[in-house]
Amino acid sequence: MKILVIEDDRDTGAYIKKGLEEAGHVVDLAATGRDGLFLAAGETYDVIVADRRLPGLDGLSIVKTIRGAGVKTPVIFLTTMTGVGDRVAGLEAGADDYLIKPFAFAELLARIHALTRRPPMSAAETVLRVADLEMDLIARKVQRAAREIDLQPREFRLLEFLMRNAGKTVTRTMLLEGVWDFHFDPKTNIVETHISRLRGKVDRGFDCELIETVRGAGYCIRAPR
Amino acid sequence: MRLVKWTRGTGIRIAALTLVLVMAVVSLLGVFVYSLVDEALRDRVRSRIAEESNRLVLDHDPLNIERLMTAIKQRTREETLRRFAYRLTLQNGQHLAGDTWLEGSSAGWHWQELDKGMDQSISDGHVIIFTQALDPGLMLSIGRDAHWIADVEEELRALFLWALALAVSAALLISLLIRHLIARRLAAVTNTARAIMYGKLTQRIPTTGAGDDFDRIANTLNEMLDRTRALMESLTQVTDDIAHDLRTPLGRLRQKLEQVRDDATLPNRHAVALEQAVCEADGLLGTFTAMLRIAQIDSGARRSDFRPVDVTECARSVCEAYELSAEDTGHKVVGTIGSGVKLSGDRDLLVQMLANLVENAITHTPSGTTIQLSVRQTATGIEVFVADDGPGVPAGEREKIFQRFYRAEASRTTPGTGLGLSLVAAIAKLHGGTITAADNKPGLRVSTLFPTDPHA
Repeated sequence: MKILVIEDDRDTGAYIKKGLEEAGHVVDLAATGRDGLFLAAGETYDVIVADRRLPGLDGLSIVKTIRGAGVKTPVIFLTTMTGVGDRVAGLEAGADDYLIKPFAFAELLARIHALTRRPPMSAAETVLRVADLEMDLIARKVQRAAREIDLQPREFRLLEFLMRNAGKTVTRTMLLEGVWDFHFDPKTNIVETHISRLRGKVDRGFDCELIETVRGAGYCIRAPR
Repeated sequence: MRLVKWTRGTGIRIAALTLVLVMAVVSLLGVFVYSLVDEALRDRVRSRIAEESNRLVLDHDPLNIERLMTAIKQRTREETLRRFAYRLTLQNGQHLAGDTWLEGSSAGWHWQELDKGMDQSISDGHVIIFTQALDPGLMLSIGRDAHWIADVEEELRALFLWALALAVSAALLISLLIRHLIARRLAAVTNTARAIMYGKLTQRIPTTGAGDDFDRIANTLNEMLDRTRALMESLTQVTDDIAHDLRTPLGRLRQKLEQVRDDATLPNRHAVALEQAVCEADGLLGTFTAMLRIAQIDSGARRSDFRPVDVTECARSVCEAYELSAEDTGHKVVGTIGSGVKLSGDRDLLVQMLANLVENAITHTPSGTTIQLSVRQTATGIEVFVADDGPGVPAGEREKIFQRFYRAEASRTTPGTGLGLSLVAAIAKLHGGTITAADNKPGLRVSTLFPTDPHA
């Protein structure tokens, strides 16, 4: 993937660039808002990672400008701000996701992957499939190996979130935001307990486990290799 | 209630005072003019009587009773439309000549009202009489019509009443106008103050440009607000700068630790130590974030983004989210949540507030504790409480739990920033709520009351 990183802090910029390159991506690094806007408007990228606060031209203005110019590249905002209200402002400006610095690198990577191959949900797609696990979004039924699995509404949403991102790692924060609409960091292990409950229903008693724990990052549902 | 408020206004008090003053001045003026005119008119009649008396008495000096009686008889007979009435009597009242109906038993000026049936050839109302004692035991009374004085007086009284009515209505109108104007200008100040209180920090008191007292007050207040805002902004700027300047190096520290930790060649014990270091850095950053978040919430700037939020829906999702993880630690989370209770606020913050309260209860109570989360609409507002049947908090410590970095004696060893409940209190305050900690007998009960917004 070709990724543009707009970050004025040299260390953070280099850290992100190095991390993304190790993950096999091609990275352009812009140190100012002006350079960033120039690259974002001129080149074709799969994802743009932009610091919310930049000298001269800030991230919010860059996103507004390129969205105004019809560039639809997904944008992730990075910020050191304390978060209250900024999330909404960023999303309203046209950003697709939002990450508060400092972050675990796995978090950024997971979010980039989730954004890039987020397929445009076609109306016809009403059944999600991973291996022998099937989720009917209309009937709100789940079955594995032709055996029906009874899920609580929240478990259903959790599994749906995992299956929509099948093959990709989703982090704890992404799950909190996507499944519970919680935009803060709870001290209690809400995600862990729900995943474990879900595993008990989806994986226990079947020949292979579909929900994997990705160490230091999050969870992933995928067909066994 | 409404009437009491109405009569308490400064405007209405000024109006009432004006009214009373105008009435007093008009009445005083009326009485003064009335008595002046009355006196002048009577004086005129009196001087005519005096002239006539002089003529009659002096003409017959030295006094001759016969001739005086003849003169009186002649005068009373003389004209069909007489101007004077006469009567001559002895001291003992014995009638000698003239009009029998005329009073005059003692010397001096008299005012006589005429009854029907009396000789009304000179007047059909009142007469003024002058009675004098003449030398050899005689009393002479001369009367003159004063009916027209009563008429004039009556007209004067009517005129005065009209003037009073006119003045009172004019005063009433003017004072109501003043009251309205004052109320309107004051309302502008009150509305602006309220708007600022609810987070519209850029709102200013409108001026009319007339340069009057109200404009001067408004200008002064506006200047004050501008300065306060400038101060607040520079404070926010400083806070933001600190956030940026301290968090960035902290973030880099964390990045470097993470990079080293993820090095596969590292011996396991180093990796563990580094993982702990990353956790420490995260804790530090967490405390920092929480502090800044509280400061930002306290500034009230978030109020401008308030939207109607279904608190029951928030509470249900928090309840459901914690049910499972609470079971793991042997806690039970129970919701007694109404439905459709709405509040103007920030959903993310309200959810965090409820979550923090539930988490706080889970963290600080032993296994086996039941935690109740309740939302209900009461007559005065929305009551939200989280109660547990755990060991509770001693009465002396209860109010301190909302203080920043306060850790109860019993929970010094529990992990946490000591900011969770401060954040809860800040969020409650931002939404106009009051938060209290009470004895749940047994356990702790933290309840927040959001009063119903009178402007909603």
